Amino acid sequence: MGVGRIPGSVRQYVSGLCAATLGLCAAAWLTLAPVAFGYRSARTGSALPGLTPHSSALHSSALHSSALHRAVLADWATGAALGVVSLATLVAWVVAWRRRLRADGVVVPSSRRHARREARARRRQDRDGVRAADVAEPAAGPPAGDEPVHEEPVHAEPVYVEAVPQPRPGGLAAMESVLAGAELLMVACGEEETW
Amino acid sequence: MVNRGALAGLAAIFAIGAWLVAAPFVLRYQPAGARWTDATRLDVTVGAALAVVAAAAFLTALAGRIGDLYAQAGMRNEPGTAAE
Repeated sequence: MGVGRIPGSVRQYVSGLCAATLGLCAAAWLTLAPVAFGYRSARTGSALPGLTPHSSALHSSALHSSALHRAVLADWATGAALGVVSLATLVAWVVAWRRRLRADGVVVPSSRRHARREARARRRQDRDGVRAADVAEPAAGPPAGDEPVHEEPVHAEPVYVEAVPQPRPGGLAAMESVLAGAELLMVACGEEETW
Repeated sequence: MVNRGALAGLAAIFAIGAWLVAAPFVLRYQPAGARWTDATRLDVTVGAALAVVAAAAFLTALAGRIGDLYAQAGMRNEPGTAAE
């Protein structure tokens, strides 16, 4: 993707997102308008604003009432449909833009779940390493004869691997701690791959 | 990259805007020959704005999509990549 193509490419996504957002706002307005403008509560009113005073007879009032009822129903139904369509459109544009950004390499395809899974796997590896070291040590009293060997959990409580090592005596100890903390933060934020 | 669903959504928003403009006359809550009521004014204004914005966004997205297709075709026809 060339640099010169970026504005045009972004423009289409922005315009789609703006139209969908405007649709959502219009849906909200259409839902609220019958109440806000008062033509819902004025359904049983006597005269239409546009009619001449002598035409506001009882018959006309009934017609007016049913017409306003139809208007309120139309606004609400249209507002609901517009809300659903606008939301779906907004989601579609967001997905399309994300896909484009990933394809262009602007966004690294890494998810928080993926980073969490990798961190968990690494913790498990560390724990298994500790457990293997414990098993390799000679036990105090090995089970004699044909007693079944009960493999007790070596560490019932979780092993907490020190995330930020203690500063070692040396020149770059503080820097090592900072780097370890930053790595932990990147893993938690799902940016491990970029790290 | 722009999928058809996104473009169809914009077309649907345009259609809803057009329906809002026509609704007072189709559903007859605007009396013929009378001044426009509040409901009619509101529906026509909102519908027209919606239709204009949705049409502009649709055309912009379509132009971008066609531009992408042209760019892809140009990359395919480059001398270095054509032989592969």
